[in-house]
Amino acid sequence: MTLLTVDNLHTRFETNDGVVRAVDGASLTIDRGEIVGLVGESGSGKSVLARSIVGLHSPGRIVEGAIDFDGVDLTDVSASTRERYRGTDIAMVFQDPTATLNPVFDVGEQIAESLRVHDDSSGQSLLDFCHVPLVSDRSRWRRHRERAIELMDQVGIADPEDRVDAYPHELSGGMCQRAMLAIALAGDPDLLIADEPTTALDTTTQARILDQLRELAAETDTAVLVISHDFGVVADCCDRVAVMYGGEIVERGPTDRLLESPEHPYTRGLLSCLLRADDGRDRLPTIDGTVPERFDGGPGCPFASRCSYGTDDCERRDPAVRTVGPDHEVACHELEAVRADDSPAAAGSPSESTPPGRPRADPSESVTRDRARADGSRTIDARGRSGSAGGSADRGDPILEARGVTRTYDLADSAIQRAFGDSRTLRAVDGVNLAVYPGETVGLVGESASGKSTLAKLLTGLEAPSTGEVRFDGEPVGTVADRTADQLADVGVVFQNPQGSINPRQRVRETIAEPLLERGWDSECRRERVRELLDLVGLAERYGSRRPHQLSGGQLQRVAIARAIALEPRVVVFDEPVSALDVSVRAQLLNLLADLQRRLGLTYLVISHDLDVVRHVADRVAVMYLGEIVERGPAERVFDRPSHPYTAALLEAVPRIDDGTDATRLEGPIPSGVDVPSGCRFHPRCPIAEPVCETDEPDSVAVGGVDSHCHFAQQVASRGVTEDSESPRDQSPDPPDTTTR
Amino acid sequence: MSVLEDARDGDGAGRRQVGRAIVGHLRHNPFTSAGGIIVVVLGVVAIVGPVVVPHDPTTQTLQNRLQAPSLVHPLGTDQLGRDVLARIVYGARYSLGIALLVTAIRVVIGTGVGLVAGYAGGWIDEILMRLVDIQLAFPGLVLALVVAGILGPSLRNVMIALAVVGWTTYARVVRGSVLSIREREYVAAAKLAGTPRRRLFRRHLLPNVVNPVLVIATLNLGTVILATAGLSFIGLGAQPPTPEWGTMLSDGRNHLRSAWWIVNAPGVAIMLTVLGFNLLGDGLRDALDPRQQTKLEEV
Repeated sequence: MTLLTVDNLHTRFETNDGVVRAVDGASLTIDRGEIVGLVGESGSGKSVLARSIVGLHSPGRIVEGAIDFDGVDLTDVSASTRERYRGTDIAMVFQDPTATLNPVFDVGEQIAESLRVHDDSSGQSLLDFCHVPLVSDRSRWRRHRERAIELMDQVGIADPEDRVDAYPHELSGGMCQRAMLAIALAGDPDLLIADEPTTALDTTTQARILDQLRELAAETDTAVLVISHDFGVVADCCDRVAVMYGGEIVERGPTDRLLESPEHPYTRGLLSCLLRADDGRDRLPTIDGTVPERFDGGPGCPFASRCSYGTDDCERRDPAVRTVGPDHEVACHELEAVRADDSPAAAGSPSESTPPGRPRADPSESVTRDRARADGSRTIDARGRSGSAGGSADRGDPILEARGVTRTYDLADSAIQRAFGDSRTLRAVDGVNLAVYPGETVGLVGESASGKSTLAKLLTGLEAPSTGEVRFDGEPVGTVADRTADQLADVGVVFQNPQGSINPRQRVRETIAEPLLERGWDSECRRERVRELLDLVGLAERYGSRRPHQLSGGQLQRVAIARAIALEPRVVVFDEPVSALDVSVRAQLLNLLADLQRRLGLTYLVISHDLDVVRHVADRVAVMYLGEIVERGPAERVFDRPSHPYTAALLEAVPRIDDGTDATRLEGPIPSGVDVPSGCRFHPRCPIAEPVCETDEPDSVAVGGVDSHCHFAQQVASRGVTEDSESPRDQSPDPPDTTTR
Repeated sequence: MSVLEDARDGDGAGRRQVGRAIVGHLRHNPFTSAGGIIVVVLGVVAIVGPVVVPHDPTTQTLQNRLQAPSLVHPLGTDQLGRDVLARIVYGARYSLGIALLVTAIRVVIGTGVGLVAGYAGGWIDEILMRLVDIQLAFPGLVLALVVAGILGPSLRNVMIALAVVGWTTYARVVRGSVLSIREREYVAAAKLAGTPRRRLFRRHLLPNVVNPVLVIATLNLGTVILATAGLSFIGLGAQPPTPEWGTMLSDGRNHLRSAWWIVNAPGVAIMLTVLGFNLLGDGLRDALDPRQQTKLEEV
């Protein structure tokens, strides 16, 4: 039963620089109760397609094609008719829930508003809106409010009666996204479009939101279109997947089929970019090049310029859509050639000419880039890392160390509040010890608000610890203002959001040269070094004279990396280096990080909520929860046999394209650092919590080289991740929410 | 690589691109271009006008007094027989010069206070901003009146009075921007690179607050011209025989019935000038909108 048919849709934008063909002949069908995924990199036209369906494509114009929704062609009706469809029949959820919710109304009011809009056409009188006592019609208001509570319950918001009065800033990102979902569902839509619904969220939250979507589709027979750049997300919840590139659907089919036997080179490329648990530390396959800013709209396959199978024919003729299996269609000229190249991982790019294995352990290459330092005392040579990763024998002294570091924030807003003794403090980082040894990569993982970024700021000196000390090279160091020029030069930092970490008013060249300038390099040396750095991070020299807005996110992050390594630091701290980027760009950047470490002998501290990224890069890993490190140890050990239930839960929440197992979901949001739970901080959310967890703070337990702060570390470790998660006790206080597909 | 990116490779090509974007903006916004034209014409008049005009603005020829517009005196003469056109043209110099100078002083004081308050925070911020609040508690023109009254009537004192009362807007806007910019990660990165505070201000904070300041300044020019004329009108500003528009209005109001041109000429001049600056300022605000930055940020 087909609900929506998009047929040969063309949406174009008129810009000062010419016509941009954002959607260029895309076709798509969605049945009732079905979840369809739409996958592609940034700039492939996914969002414009979605917006064309709901009629929010302005200022673009639909120039050709049809959108058939339940028998009505939406491109052919008046604006007011389309408006009636929006919300009642077609609803949409956007990427950033905190930006989509109106901050001045409580959540219940916003859900009720959407109910009112769809409830009756008479509209709402100003009196009702203002809740004027005695005059307003309160019964309707009450009815809507009750319905809002029902909806909030339906989308999985705990305690909806309390939360209905909460304002968006009082809720976590995941809660806000659920509220958005409730608003979307208020009109009881037939079709729900979710545009990157989980991209702004934590892995644990993402898993639960995706579960929710799946349940809703099953319960209410609502069709869902999930848009994402991450194949993992889509694979986790969709029945069918469409892959989009250059405004066209290049391949579509059932999810399982697409994952098992992808046909189009682009699909293969996207899939191969994903990090897998069994990847080890190998070089990641990537898709060469980037999505062009615009497509000229001539004939030919849009992917031809980046495709390793591309022929002249691809650039001249539009590829025909071929059916290659049940409900599985591909638009590609060179299918035979692609198929001949059997392994999907090898598709897409000649960039993996680098031999497989562990390229960064290859010492011969590192010598070629050996840069003699002024003092000559530092070893640039990257050493074989596998030996030093686990044992502490040959690690020497730590370069960067946090000793009992605590950072608290005073929450009292004003002197008056402080004077009246309202002195609540937030413990962002609480007594953390962390040491980073030369040549290794330490990963720091945890959900948002676990204190990872604050710890990074303390280590780099952007903030001062409340108690404890940060040591560099064995010497206590203060904040940035107190550090010597040498100490500053020895620590590089790369931030999460490349757009925010680069001054929009400076040219790339000036941004990279900034640390050099402060170090007193003259302009000739600076120019030379910038040229070297651009080359090192894989950017052409001409990028030096560009402005940040002319670069893509991945390119900007390369610039940020170049700036961080400009003075040849010994340690580089990465705060979520790839979280804001597409999967294909992420793979390229992770390869770059590995190359740089090998060439320059760098020490890394990588902070991320993405466990796959940390697993890929880290030798040792520390898991942070509510300001404390709950588990630490060699990366493989921690990820393969986690000995803390929090780590286990984090691992299970990662969307996988290669497992279909039911997972234990971590319930509830991370508590606030103001009211820290007693005993073990994790006990309110822990699936295996016992009474002792509430009262006693667990000591550090060593389990096979891993340091774990859990009363039941041994049991957790022996259970493993993939096994069925059975509690040591049957009635755990907070039972895990087990969902089935 | 797209066509667009290729075009931006060379610096010259990049500038052409930006130039085209500005032209595009002007073409789509006739009001902005009208404002721009008025301002440019006014500037040209102020600079070369006095050389071209045949009459002297202060020479009294009593036998020619109160003559209606004619070929010899296109805008007529005033009650002392001075050519009104000449006085308007010379007056443009005063008006524009005062407006630019006063606005420049306002921008410098306001931006300085805003930068320091926003960046330093704490009690410095508190003191500076309360100062601004106190200042804002008085209506601007009334305060300027008081200051000019105390200092005594003269053009210089009017400028001092107007500069003293008008900087608060800049201080507030700049402080607000700095509060958000100083938390940006590029500022953190600069600190990590060891950038001293002075250079941090010059390279990272100042360039990023220029846009709003530029817009307010343009809109401010019109207000200052109006305020100067107002103060001159009530006799606190330019003293006769200075050909200032406000003074001319004041002089001519006694002859409103018999010689309409004496009042109308400076009145229309003031109106057009203020209109021009306002239109240009509105256009600039749209053009410098963050969403337009990709096209116009190099302006």
